[in-house]
Amino acid sequence: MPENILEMRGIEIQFPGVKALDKVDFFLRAGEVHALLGENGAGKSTLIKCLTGVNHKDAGTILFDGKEITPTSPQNAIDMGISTVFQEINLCPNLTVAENIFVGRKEFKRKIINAKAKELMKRFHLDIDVTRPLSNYSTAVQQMVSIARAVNIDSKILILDEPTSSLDENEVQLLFNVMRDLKAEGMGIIFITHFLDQIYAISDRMTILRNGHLVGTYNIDEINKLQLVTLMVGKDMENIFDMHPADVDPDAPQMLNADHLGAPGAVSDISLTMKKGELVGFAGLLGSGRTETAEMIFGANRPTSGKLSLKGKQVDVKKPFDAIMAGVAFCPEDRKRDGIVGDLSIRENIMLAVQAKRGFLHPLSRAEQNELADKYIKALSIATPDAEKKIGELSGGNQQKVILARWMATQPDLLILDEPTRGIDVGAKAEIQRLMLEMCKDGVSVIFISSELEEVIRCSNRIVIMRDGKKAGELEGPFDGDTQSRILQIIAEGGDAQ
Amino acid sequence: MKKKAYLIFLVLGLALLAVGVFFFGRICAVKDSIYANYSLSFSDASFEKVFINDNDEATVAADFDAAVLQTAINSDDTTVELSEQVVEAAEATEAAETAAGEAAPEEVTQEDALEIIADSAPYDTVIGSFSRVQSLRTAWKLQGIFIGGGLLLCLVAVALVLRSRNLDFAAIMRSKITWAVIAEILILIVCLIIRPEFFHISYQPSNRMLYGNLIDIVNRSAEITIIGMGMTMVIALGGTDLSVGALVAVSGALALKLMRWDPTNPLYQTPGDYTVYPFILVLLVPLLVCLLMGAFNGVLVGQLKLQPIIATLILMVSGRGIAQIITNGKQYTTMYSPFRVIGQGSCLFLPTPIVITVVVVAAVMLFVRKTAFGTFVESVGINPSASRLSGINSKVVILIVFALTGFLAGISGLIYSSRIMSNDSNNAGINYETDAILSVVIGGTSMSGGKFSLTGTIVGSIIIRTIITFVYYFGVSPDSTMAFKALIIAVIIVLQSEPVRNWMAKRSQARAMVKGGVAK
Repeated sequence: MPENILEMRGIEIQFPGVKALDKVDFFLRAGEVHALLGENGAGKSTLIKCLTGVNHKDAGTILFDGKEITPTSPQNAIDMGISTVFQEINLCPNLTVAENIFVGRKEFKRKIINAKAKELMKRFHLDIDVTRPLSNYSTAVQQMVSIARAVNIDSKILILDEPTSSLDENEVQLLFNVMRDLKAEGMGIIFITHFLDQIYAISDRMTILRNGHLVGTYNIDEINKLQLVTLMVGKDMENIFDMHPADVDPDAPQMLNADHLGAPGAVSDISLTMKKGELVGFAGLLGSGRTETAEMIFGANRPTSGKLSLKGKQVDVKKPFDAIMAGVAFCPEDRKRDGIVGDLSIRENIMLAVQAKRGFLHPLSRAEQNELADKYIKALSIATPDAEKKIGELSGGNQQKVILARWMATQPDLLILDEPTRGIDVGAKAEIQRLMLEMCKDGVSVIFISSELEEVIRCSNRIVIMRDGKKAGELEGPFDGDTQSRILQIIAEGGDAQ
Repeated sequence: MKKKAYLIFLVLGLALLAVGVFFFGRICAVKDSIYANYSLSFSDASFEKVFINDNDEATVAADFDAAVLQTAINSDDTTVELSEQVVEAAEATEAAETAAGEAAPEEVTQEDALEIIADSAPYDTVIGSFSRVQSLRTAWKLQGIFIGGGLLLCLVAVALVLRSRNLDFAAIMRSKITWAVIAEILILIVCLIIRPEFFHISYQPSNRMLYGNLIDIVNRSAEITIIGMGMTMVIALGGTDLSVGALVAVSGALALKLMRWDPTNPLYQTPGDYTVYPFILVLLVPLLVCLLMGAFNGVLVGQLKLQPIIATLILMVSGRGIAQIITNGKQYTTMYSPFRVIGQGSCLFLPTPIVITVVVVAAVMLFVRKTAFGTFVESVGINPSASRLSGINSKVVILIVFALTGFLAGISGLIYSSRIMSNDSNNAGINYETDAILSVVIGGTSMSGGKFSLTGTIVGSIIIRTIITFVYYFGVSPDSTMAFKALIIAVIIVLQSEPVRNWMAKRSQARAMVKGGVAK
């Protein structure tokens, strides 16, 4: 039995009115990747914040390397050897890679830090110029740099909070390689993610929390995905993996016809037709042109070539407003940046698009707004005490539902969902998929963009595969077990496989 | 537990106000009896000098007589005829003297009337005894105490109502507007303790207007409150408008130019009660020009994506120059009486600027909150990208907000130039942009944009004016006024800063918890 590097016993944290953690035990061994799981609000973050000194525990003990510790601040925790990499990258984009790694350290001679940084990045299998500003590199590289910065401080525990949510498949593999190296060096890694596949790919053990209580700690081979989800959600989720799209009526009228759409530097030559009630999935790596295509149809970016027609009529979409008036709706990929209006209430967020459609001089009355908000809060089972809560205070899944409600309220004919299930917990994910499929049944056409191939294959009638800003292939459902490898093949090799 | 506590405060406050109004009535009655006898009204200052500041009866009597005579002479200087009562009194005296067998002049001249007033010793005939003066004095002081005290109690009642309506006390303590109101109340309490006369309100029948420091505060804050309505929304969009002060100057310059500018007619070379162009143009042209200048700001910010500070800096710097060009560098003055009404007239017994402010504020609030415009402004201010993707045309929203702010600055400019009956391109609206921004910030709207509060801005604007009035009233030398104002505002801003508010909220929360524990 390997030794525990960290033992947290009977941790209790009381927030005003809520018990955030109730007698939670958590043990981390040296040289393991330990997944910390649970729905939003289960207490994962609170536990991590307790360990890193942001929140202070009301009861319980923390033993680190056999000694009892009480971290008082994040810096204090780092000094003790507990490093954290958060979902949001908190580095300085205008400093060089090397400076970012060494900022705040004793070492400041440019030559030395550059050499050291270079060496460090090599260890991460990254051959990059460390003297260039961080902002020159992709999100994935930035994520690696922030891990490098954390690891460089002689830490014994590394906490990774949703590190993969903005990475594509290759980048995730890169990160996993680094994690394996660190593990081999004897570091204990706490890994928090919503991606179930990744848990099974990298973790050794997992601890599941629910509503502030410990559900249990298991070896990775002890339970399968379905059992895991059931334990996290607390109810039987047998039917999550059993949702499939309805067949499309072959005689259904045409909804969308994009003819050789293109914009320089983004995508070129995109042709796509969709029928009423059809669900088309977009697969492809990040930056393959999935989002750009959606933005062109919605008018967020103007296409420079090609034609677009909706419901058989040619339309000239100059700005999102034109698309909305034509019956198109768009849930953007970056919910925080492009979706929610954080300080406004749920009610205001829901009515925003409907109101924009009407113009501000024709306001919805307060009663109409309340009715609209209450209707969707109920229909989408948004977890909130009332419609006046700020949307910024909701969990990711509920925020996503509010954005979905905003667009459902406009009664669109074509709904584009860009990564609607990213970064939200498994229960909310299932609900969003269910809503999507229900809308298709009601005659709404849906474009569904997702990095998770499994859900794209399961929910779509048809799949468009994007690669390097071009349409690389199109697969017609129903799909079978080979579809995934076929898609991956097209993504990897390109060319129209049909 | 004590949910009805506010009722006690409200009733008590209203009762005090009622007593204050009673004393107000008594003072008015005394004044009326003076005015009825001589049909002359004192200015408020000379009335206060005679009845409040003089020590013994002899001085009061001498000063009163002198004041009556002075007012009579003053009225003689102008076109105002001596009143009938005086003439009648004079004729009666003449008649009595004639009856006594002395030589009777044919008619009463004004010199005679003045002489008669001086002879008749107005103090003895009108006031009679010193005890009356003393009771007037007491009434004067008590009115201040009662009106001030009543006002404060009513404010406390409002605070209690707010508290009972919104159960989350911590949230109230965290709200900036709470601290703004508390600051205002504290300043007024200090006034009430040091000199209750601060709250004195009096009535001037000659121009049918109420006078007093409280009225003056609201009156003088009109310009900043009006501009603040627009500035609040500019700040909610995440920007600032530095050009408002300059637009005030432009507005005044245009108005005066239209009233006075006609080089061909020699009659219009000196100021008088006339206007060269129709009055409606005098009002509309400045407002329209300011609206367009605001729209220019809006285009720079919305279409060309300039930073608002930089974009509005252009007009801030050039606006006063434009005003100089409009008037050829001249400072016009006018005596046109309809124009005087805007800044110095009275309406519903209140100074006109107060009424204008109420109308403007109501109109802006209706526009912002009864349409979806306010929500759109907040949405664009919080998250421009999400707003665009929701179909909101942020360029139009920005354009409207800046154009509206320009228009409101135009209104302020008319009020300001009507107060001085002149244009003053160098000093009109000076520092208005900073005062307006300060009002908005004190009112709780964050400089980083987002949710905004128009009511908060009104409170902020009134606080700033209260400080200035307070400082003047207590005789701080004009040189140190700015320093004093800065000091008080610094204290308010510190009270409103996030750490302090959170600390207070935590304390009150902890106290509530302890109380709750005891109750169990």
